Amino acid sequence: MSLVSLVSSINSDFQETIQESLRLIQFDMHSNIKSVVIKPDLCYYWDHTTGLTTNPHVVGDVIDLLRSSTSQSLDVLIVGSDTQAAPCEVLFKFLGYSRVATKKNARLVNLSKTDCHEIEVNVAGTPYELLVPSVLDTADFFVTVPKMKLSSEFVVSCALKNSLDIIQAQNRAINSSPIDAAIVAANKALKPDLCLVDGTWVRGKQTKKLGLIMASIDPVAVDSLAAKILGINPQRAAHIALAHKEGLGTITPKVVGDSLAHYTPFFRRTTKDKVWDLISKMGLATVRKLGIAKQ
Amino acid sequence: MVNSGLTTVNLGLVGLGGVGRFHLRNAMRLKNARLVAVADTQERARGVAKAMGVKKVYEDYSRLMADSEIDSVVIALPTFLHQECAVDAAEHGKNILLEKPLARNLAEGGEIVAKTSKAGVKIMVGYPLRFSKFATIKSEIDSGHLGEVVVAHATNVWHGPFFPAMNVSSPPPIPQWWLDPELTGGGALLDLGSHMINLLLWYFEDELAAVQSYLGYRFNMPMEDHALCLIRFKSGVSASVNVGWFAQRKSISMEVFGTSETVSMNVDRQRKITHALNLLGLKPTEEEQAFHNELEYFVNCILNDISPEPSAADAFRDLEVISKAYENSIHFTKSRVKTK
Repeated sequence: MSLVSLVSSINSDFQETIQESLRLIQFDMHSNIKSVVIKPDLCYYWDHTTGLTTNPHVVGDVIDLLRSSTSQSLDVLIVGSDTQAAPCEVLFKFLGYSRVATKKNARLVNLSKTDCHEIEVNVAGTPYELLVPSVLDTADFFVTVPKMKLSSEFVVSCALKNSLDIIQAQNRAINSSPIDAAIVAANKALKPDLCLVDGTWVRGKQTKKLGLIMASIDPVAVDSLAAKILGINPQRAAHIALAHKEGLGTITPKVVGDSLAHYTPFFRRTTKDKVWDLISKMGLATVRKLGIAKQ
Repeated sequence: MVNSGLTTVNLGLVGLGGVGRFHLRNAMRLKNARLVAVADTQERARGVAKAMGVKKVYEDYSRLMADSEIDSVVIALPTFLHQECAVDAAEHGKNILLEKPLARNLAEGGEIVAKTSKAGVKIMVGYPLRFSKFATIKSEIDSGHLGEVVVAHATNVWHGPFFPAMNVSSPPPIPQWWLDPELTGGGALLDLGSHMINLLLWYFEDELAAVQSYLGYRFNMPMEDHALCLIRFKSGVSASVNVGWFAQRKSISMEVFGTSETVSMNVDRQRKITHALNLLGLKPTEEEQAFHNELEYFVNCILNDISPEPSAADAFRDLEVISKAYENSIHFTKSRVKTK
């Protein structure tokens, strides 16, 4: 049974919250770990208080905590990739990661510019040959620090989607695959050792300040809970359902810490929301079909 | 170039970025103008213009300037290209609608004013708010309805050159020149503040007594992403200009407080139905309508041989205020305060 902890912070000192969330899932960090890769969600030039990108203060506190559990000489790599929208280095600076890296003596790594090796994975009977950044294999530990947010493309974006970002730059061909299969393939190639979801600011229909940290070693479990908090049935997100089916984790984890019911009222979806979603979806499809959208 | 007797203005459009595309659509709609040619370095942008029926599509704008069929140009290029392109247009005898801000700095702005004046062409600087409902505040002030104006608050806060999350799931890249202050000439204060400062100088027709600005750097860029600018006019009117690139929602407003009355105006949040109609091309947004009015006014000025406003000299005064605001600024970062 996968455990997922839900803990909210009272102030912006997230270290205690993260520590408590790890204690609740009985997570024990091996002291012989020498290097760690941390992957935040850096999707665009959007401030973390929009709920769309990972809070750099959370990452800073994760670094402090990992070092206090292992060694102060722990080699920490904060990683990102170039996207169609922005070069990774620009986003590191823009979103405050350059400052965190300097302050915490961590390294910033653009995975689009590092060596890769090939990994073959199989998703629903289809083989995928993926180029994976070697730095993720050489590091002793991989922490994903995703956002939990509603997404027009993925329904819900959280830990599973965060791994897709790592391989997208080197594996352009994967973009032509079904997106749910691509996400599952990425997670088969790169299963995180720890998922720490940044729910400090959460983007649902509106942005809410929840101060939430969610921890688990199971990315499917955290994605399922993120979906439930955002008012979505996890089965509606095809990648979560497929990841569960492919054995990457459970969609019915045991929740420890705060109860799920504490968070669900924030993003409860009304019938009006559901009707509007349907109209938008049908309307957009019609506009696309008729080709009458503006150039 | 005097166009007395003409019934149609032959336009050339340089630059098909975000604002350039507004002009492209509007130029195609105007009855007394004909869009003869466009120029853009991006093949995709040129393809859009071709698809919309523009006959001449140039990669290099100097070919557009040399096109004798064109009598007036709309320049919607990045700020660092304004001086070069506007001077080139003037030397080819073209009338000019130049997107704001006039230039990156006073030296370049002064050159544009001097060269266009020497060439005897008409030049207008594109400030679309002057052609929106914000223009009605001017008549309220001039009519005396407000009494004597004491204070004004101007706000222009939105996402600036970045894309708001609600409009796109996979945002396109922003041109990297936006992140280089050498190429932009400044940050949010120049980009958005110029709109509001232009309105204030137009409303009050007054000289500057003092200006102080507070510049913020939330996004760790080498230029400010938000700013508060405090202006004191010689008549005694005080104004605050509040600008920022940090918000997902657009918020443009103006409040003018007089001894008799107060007037306030803001760009309304677009309703979903308006947005849907806009996507279908059935109803322009307030912003599109303002750009349309602006271009229509420019074309009418050319046809009727009237000097259009805001002129390059007006925009130069805006630049002077902004320049002084930068000189007299206090810089804030997230964690510290530093004087320049």
